Formats: sequence, structure tokens, C-alpha cells
Amino acid sequence: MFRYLRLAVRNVLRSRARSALTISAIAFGVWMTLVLGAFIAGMQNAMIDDTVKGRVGAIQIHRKGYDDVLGDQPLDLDLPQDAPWLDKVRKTPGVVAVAPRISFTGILTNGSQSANYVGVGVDPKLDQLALPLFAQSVKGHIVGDDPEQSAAIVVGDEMGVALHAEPGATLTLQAATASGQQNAMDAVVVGARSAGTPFDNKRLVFVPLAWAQELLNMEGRVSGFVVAVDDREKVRAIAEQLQRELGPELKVEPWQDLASQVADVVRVQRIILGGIGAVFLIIAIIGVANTMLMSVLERTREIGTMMALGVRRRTITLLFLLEGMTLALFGGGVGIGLAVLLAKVVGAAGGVSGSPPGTVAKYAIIPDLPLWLIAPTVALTLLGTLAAAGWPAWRASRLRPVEALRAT
Amino acid sequence: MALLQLRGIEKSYELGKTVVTALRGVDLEVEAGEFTVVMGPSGSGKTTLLNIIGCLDRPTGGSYVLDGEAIGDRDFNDLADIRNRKIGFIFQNFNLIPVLSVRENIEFPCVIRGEGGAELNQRVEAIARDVGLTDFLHHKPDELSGGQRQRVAIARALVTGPQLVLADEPTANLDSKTSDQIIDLMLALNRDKGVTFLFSTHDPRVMEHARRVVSIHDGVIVDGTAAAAADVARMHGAGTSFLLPYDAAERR
Repeated sequence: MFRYLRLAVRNVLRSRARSALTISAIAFGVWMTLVLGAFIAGMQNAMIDDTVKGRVGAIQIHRKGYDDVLGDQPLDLDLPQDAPWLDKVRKTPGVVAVAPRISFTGILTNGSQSANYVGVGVDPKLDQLALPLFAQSVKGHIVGDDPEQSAAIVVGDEMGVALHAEPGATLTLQAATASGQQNAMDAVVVGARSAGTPFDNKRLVFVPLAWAQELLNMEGRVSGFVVAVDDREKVRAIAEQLQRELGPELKVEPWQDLASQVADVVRVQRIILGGIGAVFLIIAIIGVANTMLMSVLERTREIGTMMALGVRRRTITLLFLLEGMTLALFGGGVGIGLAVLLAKVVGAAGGVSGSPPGTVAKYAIIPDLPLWLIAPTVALTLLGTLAAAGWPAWRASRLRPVEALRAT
Repeated sequence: MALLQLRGIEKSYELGKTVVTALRGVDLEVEAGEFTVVMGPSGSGKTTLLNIIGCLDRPTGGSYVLDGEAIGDRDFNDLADIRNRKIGFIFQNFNLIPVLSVRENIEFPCVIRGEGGAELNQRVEAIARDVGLTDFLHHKPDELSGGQRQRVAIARALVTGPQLVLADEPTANLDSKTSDQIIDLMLALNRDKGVTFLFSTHDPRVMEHARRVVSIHDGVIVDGTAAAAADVARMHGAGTSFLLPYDAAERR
């Protein structure tokens, strides 16, 4: 086999200009697919990081049924802040932080204007562990930065503009308590948050957990917990494990279910990438087929000579398939090398700034070349090239020796 | 038993709606160790005959036995194995593989049947010595003269130790001096190593050395001596007398 491979490589090198063009076509196809994929992967990383580490968390735990009425922020489906099963969650392998949250709705006003809001009460210290990127989306301070200020709140930046709520301004937040009574408390704006989605920017208000519990008359109670994990790829597995351990009265949900629109975007982008990559690869593969066909036509007498010397049909096929494979390996290698180089250079420069679809925030997009991108690209290039070389190779093997030897 | 036996070999081609008959009931026997020339005018069927003897083409009728094996309806791979084991080929255009060195070209028929190692190297070097190529083993074919290339082809034809070497106009693309050298080389191999050669040629110089001449006209073998002498005379020009140095028919 090694001798045939060596012969294939020499035949590829024999028509240097043509092989160089074919290798360039394959390299270009692979490079374009990988570069496009690397930027999409980078963007998806930014989106998922923003979702997992800045907005939703990797996993959330609520009471069963809470997610059915999630938009209503129901206070009656609450949990104790110091639930006994929390220790089990914290000790689960892969879990790095657990932060309590309470969600509620109401109306806030600056005295002359008012707006509906969705409030999120957070434990400042634990929330920073569970959502370490949250602070990056906030201009000014986050809740809990100033321990003296127990009524500090962060508002969505568009809400802040609408209500002229600059840092230092006081807003009054009104909400219904767990027992249905109306309550209102003043709070001081310390920061404005520019998040990934327009809803967050127009509606969300972050407040200290203890302050929210006082407003809602729910001391020691929370809506649920945000769980952070050490490996994004293990989120679903950890969620499933927690669900098994915590039982059916609690609902454990990974970010893919909580922010399904992000998961949908990721999936659609991968499908589009697959389509675009397929077009590039098909163009490259047509080039390979053309090269191999030319090669068979030019070397017909040589094929006849080999047959006369006793080479079997399958060996003739193998020789041309190996030539196709050699072209694919050279082209694929060059394409992968150049794509890795570009990804490293752009990554070292801090990436490029961009907004994924459906979001308003700017992310630093660091090109990424994960295995899910490289493996299918390489596999499809090799398989495609083999398919492209297959027909010319088969054609060569079906030649009749006496006719092949007559070729000029 | 003869090395090869052809009985009633026929070969017809379809060219569009026309059927062309190239061979019409050819009977031929060749003994091991012979140095035989097949001659005849263009279109007489001699190349077709060599192609059938070399298992490169199939007859449309008749029977063919090579070294005791009936060739008959063998499939492609069987025929490939027979060519590899029993037959060496020397072509008019040398037909070397250009990306392989002289050594690799010579050893190629052995490599495809899985041989390799020191024993093969020794065999290749011995044959290269026999054909005068010891100093050119690492050269590529395009670095050799026509005569040297044909020597490589001869070495390649011999490396498997075949029962029969078929040479289709082996001196047609060589100058007269190189032709003489190549003919001398093949005669020496025939004389010293007992290699059986079967030629097709137009070259009268080959005829001078042939020990048996088979003359073919319109797809039929005509009686040896007289027809062959006429062919040779025609090739040498009108009025030239020419005597075959050896008549295999008499020898038999």
C-alpha cells in the first residue's frame, strides 16, 4: 500500500500546475468553510457565554409548574432560600455556584412617568459567582457594590432613558406581595444595563434580594436558584443528574430550554453554515473530478501498460483514489492550516466586535475552531474527494488493456 | 508439449455496422526457448495475434493453451495474473512509467504481486547488469536514451522470469546501431538464459537473426519459408536476395 501511495503522490506532483490549482481549490473551500465556521462558532460562544454567564445561568431550579407560568412571575410557587437540598446541589460534581433569585412584576415610577417592570432580586455575592459576566453589561455599579446602599437597583438602559433614571435618581417600585396586597418602596438607581435582548433593556430591574423580599413580604423565600457549572458542554448532563436527585417536585432546566431562542439561533446558524460549506466543498470537488478525469485520459496508455504487467482492476481504482486522497490531504491541510492561522491572529488581536441576530449588545467575537466544525469539514472533504475521484478511477479500471495500450 | 498452442484462433471486430475479421483460424505452436518472428504487412493481423497470445485481447473463436493452462474464458483478474506470471512485454514505445526510476520500473511487475526486500533488489540488480543498466538504476526514464529505455523494458519483461517474452516492434523507434544492440541483447538472453521470444516486426535486421519466421497475411498464417522469404525480400527492396539464416520448420 505504501508503494502505491508513493506512486500516487508522484503522479500528483507530475502535473504540478494542475495539481496546484486543484489543491488551491480544495484549500480555498476548506479555508472558507472553516473561517466562516470559526466566526460563527466565536459568535455562538459569545452568545452562549452571555446567556449562561451573564443572563440566564447554566441551570435554573424552580418548583414544578413555575416554568409553565414563567411570564407571570408567580410568587406562590416559591422555595425556601435555605432549602435543605441546596447542599446536595452545591456538592454535585461540576457545580461551581448556586445563587438564589426572586422574580416579580410591578409598576415603577419617577414621580411623573411610570412603566411596567420585571424585577429580579439577587444575592450580590452569590450572583456574581453564578453569573460572572453580568457586571460587564452594566454601566455604573451593580447591586451590592456599595454595602451601605441596601436599596440600590440596576435598570435596563432603555428603561433608564425613558424614565430619565440616571445613576443617583430615585424610583419608586410598586408590586403585589405574596398575599396580594400592594406595596411600594423607593430605590436608588446605581447602574444601567445594556443586555442582549430588547426585552431586558426595556423591562428588567435588578434589586437586592433582601430588599425584594421586604417589598414582597417574602422574607426567606425565593423564586428559584441559578446554578453555575464548570464546563458548558456538561450542562445538560448535570441538569439531568440534578433532576434525578431532587425529585419531581422541582424542575431543573438547562439554558438550552430556558433560552430556547439562543439554542435555535445556534442550530439554524449551523445548518446555514453546513449549506454554505457544502457549496464551497462541491466547487472544490468538481475541480478534483476534473483533474482526475484529465489524469485518466492523459495516462490511458500508462494504465494499459500497468494492466499488461498484471495490475488488477481494483489496484488501478486504488491508485486513482489514492491520488484523489492525496489532493484532498494536501488541500485540506493547507486550508486547515491557514484557517487556524487566521483564527489565532484574530484571536490574539482581541477578536472582532459584532452583534448576533436578535440581540443589541456588542460581543467580542473570538474565532473558534471546535471539533464539531473541523471533523465534518475534513470528513466531507475526504469523502467528497473520494467520490469525485471514484468515477474517473472506476473508468480507468474498466479500460480494456488492448485499447488502453493503443491510446496516444 | 509446446509452450503455447493456438488452434483455429479467430478474431473479429465490429466497426460500426461492419464486421472486420483480423484473424481467420490461426494455428500456431511455439516451443520453449524459440526466438520467433511474426511478420507480415500492415493490417495483416500480427499485432492482433500478439495481443491474443499476450492475453491482452480475447479471441472470438478457437482455443489457446499457454504453458499447459487453457486461457479460454478467464476473467480479467485471472488474465492479469497470467500476464504477470508467465508473460513479459516489450513495447515499441517502451511504455515505461515516467514517475518511477529505472529500478522501480524494473521491479514493478514483482511489486504488484507483493514481492520486495533484498532478494528482489538482488534480482533487479542482476538483470540490470545483464542489460547494461547498472549505472542507471536511479535515473528516471526521461533521463535515458531510446536504447536505454528499451533495455529497461527488456529488464522489466524478464524480472518475473516469464515463460514467454512478447516484443511488439521493439526496434521500430530506435536507430540502426541501437537496434542492433537491442537485438544482440535479446539473442544473448535467448541463447544464454533460454528466454523464449516472440516478435512482431517490420525490421529486416531482426529477420537476419530470427531462427524461425511466421508470416501472416490477411489474418492467415501462410507457409513459413517461401512466404517469409518473399516478405523479407519485399522489405529489402525489389531485386534484393535474402536468405533466412535459420528455418525453424526444418529444425522441427
